[in-house]
Amino acid sequence: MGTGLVAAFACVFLTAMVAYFLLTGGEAQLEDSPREAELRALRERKRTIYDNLRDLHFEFLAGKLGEEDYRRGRGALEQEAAQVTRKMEGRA
Amino acid sequence: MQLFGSFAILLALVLAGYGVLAGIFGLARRDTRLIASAQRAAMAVFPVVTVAVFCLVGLILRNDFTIAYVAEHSNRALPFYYKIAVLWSGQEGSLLFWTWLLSGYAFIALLGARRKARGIAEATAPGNLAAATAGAGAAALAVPATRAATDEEEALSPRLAHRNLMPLAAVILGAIECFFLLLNNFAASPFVTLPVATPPDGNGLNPLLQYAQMVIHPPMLYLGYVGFSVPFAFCLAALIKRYPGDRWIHVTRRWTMVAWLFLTIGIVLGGNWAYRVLGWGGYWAWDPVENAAFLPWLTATAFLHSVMMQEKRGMLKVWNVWLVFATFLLAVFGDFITRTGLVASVHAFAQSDIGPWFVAFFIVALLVCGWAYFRNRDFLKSENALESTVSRESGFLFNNFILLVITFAVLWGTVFPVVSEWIEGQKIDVGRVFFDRINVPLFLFLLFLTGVGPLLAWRRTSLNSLKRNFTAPAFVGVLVAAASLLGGVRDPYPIVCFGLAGFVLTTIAMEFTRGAAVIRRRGGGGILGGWPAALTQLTLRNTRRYGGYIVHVGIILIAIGIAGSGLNQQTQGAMPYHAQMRIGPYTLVSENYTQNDNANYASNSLEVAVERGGQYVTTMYPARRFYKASNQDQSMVAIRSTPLADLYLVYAGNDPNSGDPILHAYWNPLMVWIWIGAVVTALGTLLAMLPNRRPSGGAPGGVAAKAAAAPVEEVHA
Repeated sequence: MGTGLVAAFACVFLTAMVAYFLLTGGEAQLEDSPREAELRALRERKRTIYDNLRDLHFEFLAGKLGEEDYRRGRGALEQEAAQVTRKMEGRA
Repeated sequence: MQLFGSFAILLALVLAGYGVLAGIFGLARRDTRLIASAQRAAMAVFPVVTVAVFCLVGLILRNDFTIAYVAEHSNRALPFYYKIAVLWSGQEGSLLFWTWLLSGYAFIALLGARRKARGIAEATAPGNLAAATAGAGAAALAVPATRAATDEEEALSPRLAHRNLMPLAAVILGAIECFFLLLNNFAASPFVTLPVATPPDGNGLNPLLQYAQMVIHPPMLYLGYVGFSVPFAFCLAALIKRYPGDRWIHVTRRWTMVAWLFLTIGIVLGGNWAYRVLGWGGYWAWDPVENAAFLPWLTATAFLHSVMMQEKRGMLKVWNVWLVFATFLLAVFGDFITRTGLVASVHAFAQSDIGPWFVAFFIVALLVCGWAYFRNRDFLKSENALESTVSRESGFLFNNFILLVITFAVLWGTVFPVVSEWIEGQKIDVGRVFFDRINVPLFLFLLFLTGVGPLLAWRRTSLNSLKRNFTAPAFVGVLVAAASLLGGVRDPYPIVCFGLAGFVLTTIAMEFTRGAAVIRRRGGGGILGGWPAALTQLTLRNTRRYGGYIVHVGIILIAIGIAGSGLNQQTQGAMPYHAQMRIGPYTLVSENYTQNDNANYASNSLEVAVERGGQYVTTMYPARRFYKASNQDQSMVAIRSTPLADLYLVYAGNDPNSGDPILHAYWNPLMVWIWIGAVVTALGTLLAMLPNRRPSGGAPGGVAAKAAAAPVEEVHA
């Protein structure tokens, strides 16, 4: 009987703790508007392209890439960056 | 305690259910209070399940044999640390343990989201990062003018993705928790009392589990299995929400790495346990439960490689999403096999009727994945196409293709007994030969790709670059293969494996030395200006890449250890007093035979003197124990490890006629490199999870900084 009473008290205490935790606290933050989110995604893409440029340059300096591979890779990445910039300007 | 534990898992189910429903309604109505309440409920599940876990552990420690689970899996004489292991040694306890880990992961993810939300609020507050990512308009369009702004934005994007996806990810994690809590409450409760009179003692822990590795192996494995729920939740949430950009993939990748690390450690500890405990001289037998852990590991490995294609080039989006889905589903499949005893296995420590629950969950999860994919497949359109077959992209594609073929082969071999029973009415086991014949050549090709991939350029690689990068590694590879042939290795697979190991290790060494040379040229080697400082700087500037290479070194070491098994030797014989046996370079001499007895077990032990070239080396004590509570006996293997080979002795019983002890001896070359390789792999993974350290300027990072900060026009110029 004594053990059962202790268990019942523990159950009530646990429920009260959880209920307190559930009922107190602030509000959640919602994400940006679709337009803001899209702009952010484009900025992220642009940063990724810059990172790729940096890696490409480093590999060239390290001697992993020949002149031909480096120029081709750099040209393609610059073109990609320009496209992303145009997209960003179009959505401004 | 039993009542309190039962109540706690019921309360946890109510909380998880509320979290799912409130989350769905909150997101549908964009009700921020309801969403916050759902997230708090999801967080509360963890402490409540923790209460239930503590209750069960308390019942085990108190030897409360009124509880069926405790009576079945524990006994009074069991040492304290093995009593803790009782928590996951049986079906009901291990399912509760699974729920606990899952709720723990969800708790950490939610806590992280709250912390990130606060960090984002501070970073985007007026006066801090001006319109870094939160605002729209002209300010947001401007290319960041300074390195600091770029770095802030870079750091902010994955945090934003984590925060924005968390409400839906919490709903998905809550739904998975609901399934396991339903099992804990209604199908496999660990708090059920015995319907008969309380026994004076329990049946005891399975002797196979009474080893140090078994105290840590299942938690690691479970942390791996369960951990894949988090990337799954974020990936599914990103797909359903059509989250713009690729930063959500960063969140998914990081969580996948965490789970992958734990699963790797779990698998290797399992292999180590099998090697040290089962007494057959091996560590991997393509057992269904071993395969069940290996399957999600393979798909997660494929994802960790192919995700780079998405991050770098916006390719393979559909592939990546399905790899994440497949990894989660295979992890559930692994738990299903382990827990239900669907396929006979030395590891399947439980047999039960919870199979239909798992089948239902698996089907629902698959349907949700399929629905989310078909509804949003246009969102996963690739941004670029493959430009050449000789490129980094094609290297990753081949890597993924091989990993997927291995996955299908292992899956097919694992479920074949079940399929054959359906079709022909009898279980047919494909056996080890099937797995070895298919997988060994595939793994060797994968090793080759491990070396080739990093040497190829993105988009296209010219013949000149190929010559420049491949000559030295190919030369070393051929040299090593020739040396192993001359050294007496005759089996073609080990020869090829050693050659490929030489090839790959050379490519990795070249990657490090070339990179460090650039840093040294630019004066980035620190005050000392030496190679160690340059190598450290190089690694810390791109932890993901160079941590990844260290992981590859670990995998190569493991491959060397596995190839060594092609050179194994073994012999067996009766060993009366002073009898001798020869194995490898050693002579074994039987010195003594002893018997011991304690409350938990009785044991027979053989004292074996090991000699080499007439010189005493060491004494080893293989033994056999009889566990009293469970009435089972178990071999205690004696192992002497050196970098060249393991001497592995098994007390195989007693001769029925003479009563003399029988010794089974194995000589296993290069075995220790498997375990060393696993440690290197784990360290490499930990390194890869660290954030990059930005260079302070001057060094190649200076180039990087310029490229990252400059307007596009300047880059063009």
